[in-house]
Amino acid sequence: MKSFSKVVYKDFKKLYKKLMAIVFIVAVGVAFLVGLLTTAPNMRYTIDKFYKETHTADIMIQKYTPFTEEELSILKNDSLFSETMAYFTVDEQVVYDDIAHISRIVLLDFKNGFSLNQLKLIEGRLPNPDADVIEVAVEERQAYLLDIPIGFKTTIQDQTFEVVGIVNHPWHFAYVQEISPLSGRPIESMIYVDQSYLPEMVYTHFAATLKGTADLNTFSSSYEDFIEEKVDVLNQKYLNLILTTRFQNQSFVKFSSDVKIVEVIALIFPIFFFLITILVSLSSMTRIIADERIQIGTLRSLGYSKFKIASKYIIYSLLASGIGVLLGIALGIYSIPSIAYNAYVVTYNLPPLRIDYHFTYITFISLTMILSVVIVTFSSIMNVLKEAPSNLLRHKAPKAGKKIFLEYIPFIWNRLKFKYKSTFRNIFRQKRNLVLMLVGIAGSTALLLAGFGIKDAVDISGDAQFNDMYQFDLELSIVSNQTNIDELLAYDQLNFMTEISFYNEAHYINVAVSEVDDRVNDFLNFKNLKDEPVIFKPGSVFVTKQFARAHDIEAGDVIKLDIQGKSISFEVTEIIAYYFGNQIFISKYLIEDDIPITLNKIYVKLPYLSDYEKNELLSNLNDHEDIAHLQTKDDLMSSFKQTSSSMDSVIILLVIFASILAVIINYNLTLINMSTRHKEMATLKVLGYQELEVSGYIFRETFIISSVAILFGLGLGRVLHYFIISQVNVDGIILKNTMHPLSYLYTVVLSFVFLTLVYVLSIPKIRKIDMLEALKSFE
Amino acid sequence: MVKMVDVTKKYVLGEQEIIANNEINFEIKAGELCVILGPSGAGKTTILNILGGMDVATSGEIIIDNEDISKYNQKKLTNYRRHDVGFVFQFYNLMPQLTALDNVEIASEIGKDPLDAKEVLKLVGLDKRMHNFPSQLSGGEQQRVSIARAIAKNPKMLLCDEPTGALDIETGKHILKLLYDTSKLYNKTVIIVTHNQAIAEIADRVITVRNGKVDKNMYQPKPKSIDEVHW
Repeated sequence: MKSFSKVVYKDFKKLYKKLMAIVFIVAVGVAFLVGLLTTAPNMRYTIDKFYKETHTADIMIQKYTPFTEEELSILKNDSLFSETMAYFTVDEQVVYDDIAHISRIVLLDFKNGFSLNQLKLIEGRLPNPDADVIEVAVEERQAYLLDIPIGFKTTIQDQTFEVVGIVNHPWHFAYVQEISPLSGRPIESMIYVDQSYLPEMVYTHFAATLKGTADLNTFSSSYEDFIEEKVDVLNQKYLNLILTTRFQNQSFVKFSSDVKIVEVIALIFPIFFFLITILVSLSSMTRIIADERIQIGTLRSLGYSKFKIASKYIIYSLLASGIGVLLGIALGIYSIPSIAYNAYVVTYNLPPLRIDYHFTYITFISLTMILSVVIVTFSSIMNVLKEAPSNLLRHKAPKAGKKIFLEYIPFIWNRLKFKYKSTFRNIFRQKRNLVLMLVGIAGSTALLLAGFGIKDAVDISGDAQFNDMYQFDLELSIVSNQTNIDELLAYDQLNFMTEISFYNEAHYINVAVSEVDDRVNDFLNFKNLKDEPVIFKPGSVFVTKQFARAHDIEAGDVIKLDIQGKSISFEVTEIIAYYFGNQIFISKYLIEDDIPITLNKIYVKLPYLSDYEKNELLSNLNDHEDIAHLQTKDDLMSSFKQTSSSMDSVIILLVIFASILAVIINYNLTLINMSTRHKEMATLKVLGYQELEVSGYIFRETFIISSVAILFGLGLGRVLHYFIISQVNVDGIILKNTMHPLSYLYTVVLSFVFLTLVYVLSIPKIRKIDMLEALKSFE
Repeated sequence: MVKMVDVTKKYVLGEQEIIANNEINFEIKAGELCVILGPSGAGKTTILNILGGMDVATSGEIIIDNEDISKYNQKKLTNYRRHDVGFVFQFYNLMPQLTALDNVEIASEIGKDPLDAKEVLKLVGLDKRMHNFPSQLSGGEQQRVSIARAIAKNPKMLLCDEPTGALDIETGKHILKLLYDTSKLYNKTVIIVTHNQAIAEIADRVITVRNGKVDKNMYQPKPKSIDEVHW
């Protein structure tokens, strides 16, 4: 081995401990980056694979009357389709636990099997069409679907059904509520049965995959473009049919928007991590190189070229960052996507996560990390090498003390205790460490605050909608115009018509018209976007914020709605704050001439009732033949909580990652700080400072810096929170951009808990400082 | 009174055992200026470190004013360093971010009966430079700050490890004068470790160390004055 290589090798053994800081921070950075940036792609990859394996249809074609033989044959032979399947679906009342629930019954060809929309068996087995009883499979339970066990028997239209299997249909993997178009009531179970159940099979639905989609990722824009193009063609061919694509499938929509949130949050981290990694490697490398000044000077004076000397440190930086990158990939590639995915699974029946290696991401992150460390190393070694060799052979004087700005304010400075004077000078002496701590701690504090803040936003929004806005206690869906319900006559009630309308021919929006315009305000306290109360009057048209924002509607705009086949224009008088769902409230006076007002909804205010009285009333109403559906305010609230539960996952992610980060960064910074201040601490020990006093000397300043950083972090966190909230757009939920003051407190307390933890962890290191070793040499 | 009785210090270095001090015995009277003399590697710094409570002897007794500090635990040793010992090092070991005055205060602040930091700096001749940082001071001036730091604690004794080692002869003499005056003015025991024989000539007592053992312990009733010595 050449002697220079020997030096490189031997010094590596000496320096590897110091290089560990770089390995460590690169590993942590890469783990988070690789993990977070591949989480969303992996989630999409999982669903895309799931779709492909179950042969999920690209397109569903529906008709309200059964398809004719001729229509079916044309569809089956259409050259655009690759696989096709016709089936029958009907919504029926099924009695379960003595209550009639709306069930969607899907007739499939279990005998010959079917290729499209394959059911994934969760438990039990698929129905056997030749069994004595009618065997069925039911959709796995979820927030909106009942838990129907295997072995359960029920009677539908005099026929006995037995549940033999629990399955997942690829179009129903998310916890979303579907409304039966016939009754306007939510579907509470899905039942899959063999088509032999009908004596003569008819087909109402037609599913198909399109030729050319097999190789497209369902989340890609090329898939979207492809589908759009084919839908246009199909719409021209089949004018009387209703086409639905995956983009109208509620599970797909919910999943896509949830993944988007993960993606947005994942994007917050990279800048932060790169900054930290660069600062930590800069700090470590500068220290290593400073320790080797004499050696560098000797080599220079012996005639080694700058390039050769620099190569030693470049090799170290490559080694350290390379090992860090490999470790980081190993640590992050499975764990972080799994944590994120499992946090989301609570609102889905999802297949297990699949990890695709996403080489582009990994390569990009790895190279950028390695390159940053190498560049940082190169710049610090060059900084030393530009000095004359003779200069390098001399010890570098320790960084000189300087007066700090506070000293020019004698009023404050002279009043400071001595230990604070030295603390303040120290804070400004090690500027790099100062910046490092500020960035690291402010960053993790910001993430924490954002996490808590999102929880607040969900709670406050729910509160604003259900406690401040909703002044009623019950919401009833009734059989049209049957408003005189005996049980309710004693209470204050308001009758409504709600009707589905189309905006710009394509977008569903619920329209609500009250029987009496002025009385709306007794049941709903509207607020505008500035949080000021607004009064609903004859002539008012109120549009909820999320819909207005999605379609660029402002107060004063004229919008055109198709209601009951009639196209009517309205001038929007107000955009209102509304956090759950979307509605357009229209004055009766604007609409009654065009369409008949059929009242189908009642809001009821209840006085104080005992639990017993209340339960009795509810049970009477539930049994009432004119009442199709009943929801209390608590039901509505819990359905909001259910829908917003995917936000919980975001909160958990932010809080967990921020906490891990806070501890790692704090600990690393404290180690760096202690290692730069090693000699000072040794001197203090020699002077007779007790352990706690020595740690006080170090921690007093980290405490002050951390406090300032936490303060910055709170500001930054508020901005981050604002950004995340503005990105949230799930299932008609919009969140109020606000947080609870207590969250600031929790964040501050938690941040200090982490600091204390790190201090406690590092006290043994102070005990270990060897006074004699430290005092032996000059520097 | 400083007394070492059968003090042995062994280090284990890998598989090798190194005996730095081998049954050291000596006694130094209060107020004496004592020089511990010996070539490098003789074990004199180890003696100083053990006397100063920075290192612990493997066996033997170290009696400081009738107290055996070899029985002390870490906390008591720290307190001993805090109140009874002032150190002066070859390389000063000042805090670079603190001014001369701050560097003295950092020691006096924790003392039981400290001297006024400004007064002490005046005494060592640095009253005009007390607001300067170490980097703005010459080597001799830095060493004077370090002596001031040691004195300001008002300790029983000063322990100096090659205090003139990094200084030129003129500056070195000034520093020695200062240590000598301190010993006489405040009646403090001053122990100087050095390999420089010339310095030994000004001491009340010279202890010569060779191969970890005390070679000679000599009382000099009439030490030379500093102006008379050269090296």
